[in-house]
Amino acid sequence: MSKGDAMYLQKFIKFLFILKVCLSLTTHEAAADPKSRVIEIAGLGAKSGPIRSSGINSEAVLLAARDRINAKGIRLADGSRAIFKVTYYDSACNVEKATTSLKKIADTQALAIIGPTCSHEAEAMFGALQKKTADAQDSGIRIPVLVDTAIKPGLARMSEWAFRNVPNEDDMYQQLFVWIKATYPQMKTAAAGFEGDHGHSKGTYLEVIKKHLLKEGYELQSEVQWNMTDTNFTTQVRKTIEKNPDMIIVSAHDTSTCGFLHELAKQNYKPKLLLGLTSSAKTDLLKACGREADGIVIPTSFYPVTPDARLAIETSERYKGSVDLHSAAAWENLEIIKRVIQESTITGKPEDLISDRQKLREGLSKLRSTKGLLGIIKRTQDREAIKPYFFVQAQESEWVVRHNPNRKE
Amino acid sequence: MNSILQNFADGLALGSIYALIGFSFFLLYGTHRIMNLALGSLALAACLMGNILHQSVGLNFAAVTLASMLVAGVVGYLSFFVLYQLLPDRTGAASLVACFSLWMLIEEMVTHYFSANAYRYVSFFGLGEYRIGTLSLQAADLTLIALAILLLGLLPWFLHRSTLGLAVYGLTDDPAAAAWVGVPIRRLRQQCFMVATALAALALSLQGAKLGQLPPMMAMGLTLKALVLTAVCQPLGYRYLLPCGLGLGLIECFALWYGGATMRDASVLILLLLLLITWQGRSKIAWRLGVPSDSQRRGRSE
Amino acid sequence: MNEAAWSLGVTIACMSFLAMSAYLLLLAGKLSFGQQMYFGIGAYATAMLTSLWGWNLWVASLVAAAINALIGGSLARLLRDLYGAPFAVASLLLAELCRLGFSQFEFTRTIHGELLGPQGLNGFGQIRWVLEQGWNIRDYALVVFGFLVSVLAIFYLIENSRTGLRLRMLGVDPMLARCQGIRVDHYQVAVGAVAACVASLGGGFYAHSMTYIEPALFDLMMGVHAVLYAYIGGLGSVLGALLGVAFDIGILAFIDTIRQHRMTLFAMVMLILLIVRPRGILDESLARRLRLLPRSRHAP
Repeated sequence: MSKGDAMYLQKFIKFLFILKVCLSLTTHEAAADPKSRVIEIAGLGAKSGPIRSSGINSEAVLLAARDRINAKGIRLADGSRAIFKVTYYDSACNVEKATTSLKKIADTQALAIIGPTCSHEAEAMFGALQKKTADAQDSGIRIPVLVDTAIKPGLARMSEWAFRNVPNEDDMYQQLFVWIKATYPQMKTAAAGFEGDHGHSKGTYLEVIKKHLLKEGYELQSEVQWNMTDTNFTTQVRKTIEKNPDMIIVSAHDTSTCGFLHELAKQNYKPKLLLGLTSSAKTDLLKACGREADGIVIPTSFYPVTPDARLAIETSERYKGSVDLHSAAAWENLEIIKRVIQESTITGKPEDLISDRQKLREGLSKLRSTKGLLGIIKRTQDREAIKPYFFVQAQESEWVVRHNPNRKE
Repeated sequence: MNSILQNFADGLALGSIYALIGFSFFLLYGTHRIMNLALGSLALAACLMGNILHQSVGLNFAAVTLASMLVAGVVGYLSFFVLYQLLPDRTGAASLVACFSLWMLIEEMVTHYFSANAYRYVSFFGLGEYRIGTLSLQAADLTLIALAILLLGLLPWFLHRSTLGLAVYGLTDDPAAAAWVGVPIRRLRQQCFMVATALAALALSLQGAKLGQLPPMMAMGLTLKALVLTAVCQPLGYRYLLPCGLGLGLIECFALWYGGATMRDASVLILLLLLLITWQGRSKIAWRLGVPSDSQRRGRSE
Repeated sequence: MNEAAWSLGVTIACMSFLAMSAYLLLLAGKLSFGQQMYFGIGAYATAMLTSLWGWNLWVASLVAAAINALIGGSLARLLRDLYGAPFAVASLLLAELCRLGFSQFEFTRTIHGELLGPQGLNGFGQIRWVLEQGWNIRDYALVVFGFLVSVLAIFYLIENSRTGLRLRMLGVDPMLARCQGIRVDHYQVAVGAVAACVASLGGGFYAHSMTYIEPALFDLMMGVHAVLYAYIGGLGSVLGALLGVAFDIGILAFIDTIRQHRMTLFAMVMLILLIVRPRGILDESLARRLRLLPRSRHAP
């Protein structure tokens, strides 16, 4: 080797060292204690596409939760200590990607999956899981999946490996209409609009909102539909306001909700009350059309009223994400997994992965309540959650609590 | 009766945007024999870039629209270069596929690089609704209808009386003959690409001002409607763009009012499919409408 | 090979069926953006037969393919006089109508206490015939590859026969082909039926691989991708369609660093390819040279 080559090699090695130092400063992983075991958790959500904010927020909150847990570590049954390693996968709200990612994650050392974002992804993934643990012939995948965002009712029933930590929309809207009846006794009529080409919006409206609206004795004057890709809401708004309803219900996601509300404002109609879909109770709606959405009331399972909730918000900002009713569940899910690990004989060793996954599944299915960011979350027999919630209202581009149905608890 | 008249007015407004964007498609198809499916997304990207002026500096609708049209012109020139100059196989399937690829590319880039905040569009001079008796229409809608009628109404005069118009008409009818008589084909095609994209940007800007936002998925629906309008009007001629576009808007509005979104989509799809399927009888349709056929028109001009 | 890799292989195989159906139509001079319709009908029909009535998957796939062949042939007859953009638009409209139909289609049965079947916009989940039979993904993948290879072999034989030659003649100039005595209408109907059949097979296998299907899956983008795969891979041979699918799903999807920008990259590559190689990677001239290669090697 010539002198020039040797000097070049030295410089290159120095460069690599500096690069390594810089990278280690920028990586967010907590420095691994060589004595701690590493338990891998996979996150799965839509980090690209039109609803990428959901996946980005979930990832940020999950990483923040990981940091908080790893600071104290996880106590294992054999007395040793473990920390979490979180890898977040992008499913892009795509069924194919979600199923492929599920299979890919199942082949890794991941103990469990937290996600996905979209309900159809969850439905596809749960179909690929083993349906009943007692059925040895079923060649479905065997890894626990804890859902944070996908909110379509009844999905956890599809597999004994599926667990959900999402709000119970049926309960929320039932209580919402009871509260409206008590608070606004003069209101008698309603009109509704929903996204007719989106399963969640349409399903929640037809099976939950409409059911409870009619049960409380309100007159439904009109129902209009639109598609998520619609560019014109003139006719829909005209039909909605034709008979001057007291209440207007919009069961849609941010983009088309804003389009509808914008047209409503243009047609100079201000209903006495505006109600929205749970998934719209996020800062994204207020950023897109805060002025037009002023006064909208939505039930939500997240609001920064507790110290834990505020801590989650603070720590997630570091990862450039925000905490809302969906991403908050990612934090709670990681805490639930930590609790089950500490209460069981999970070893965290690579050779025990299959038995660890089974132990985690059994531990999760035995839970009857867990600690959430807003309080106690009850767990049902069919692996769903009953979470505390609030009714929030958009006021001057901020969400403000209008009613706390949990106060008596 | 009120709802019928109101739906009629709303349908005209909706149809106007279809007619305007349809005209852009038609112009490109006539001069290049390309169905430029990327037109909607190119115009949308241009409008979003123009909207940055409103979000950062607070400029009004006119300035934003003008900026969007300028950007659209530039973007139109670039797409002409990619879709027409560079492509060896300019007609047929390859060009259609290239247009689709460009559409996908632009839409993906807009989704990735513009955040949801960027979709909030400037309002139409803060103007709201106008009432004429029991009828009400938005200022943006009235402008759209007026623009569509003006542009497409003046089109026959432009195409048959002005030098530039005659050159364009000649290019659409017979490019080889137009070249022989000294029409600068390449430059004219370039200009048509730029004008078509700018016009689409104008229509989208008005629609965005009315809607209050310009989400990326907006381009797909408008592109499809305009595409089908072009396919249907192509054998009949450019004069039928405005009535066909307005007709499409009216059908959509009435179907939506009386049947809902599914009925609207289904009725439009079935109607357009039937019109296309009777393509082989297009000379019969033209004959019934009193429109001279291609060969009759050629014979008349000779 | 791990499960994820086998699963990816199955997805590539299913999309290959779709791409081959688009390729066949392109060969006959018809650009169709609506092949996802047959893919979707095949998916729904196969899934219903296995989930609701317990049919064997392979039998159900063939029955669904036969149904699709009937539909494809009929629609091909209806649209026989349309070429180019009008045909592309008509196929697109038909596919959108079909998707609208899927979103309204509900047919459920209670099987072992569970409501199964297509439920409109809510989709059709619990398509678990493969899992319930105890098949692992590797075995399923091998069977699907077997079907794929069989269809490829049939395509290859057709391409290199007089029928294939006639199809290419049809694709280049139908009027001239008619003057040569080729029964253009009959060929159009046959091509439409076979393309629908092939797409249907892919749809059935896809549904059982995903275990869940919904109307939104069979949208315009799927149809566009089918055509793009055929173009990327090349129009010189049916293997071109597989090449296109393998490039997009196999390569681009695998590279983690660009996964978020996969679609952008795919579209850019497509544009560049159309400029540099307008007939795709495996275009007619390259395909011909490759076919002649064994002969030239053995030549004295």
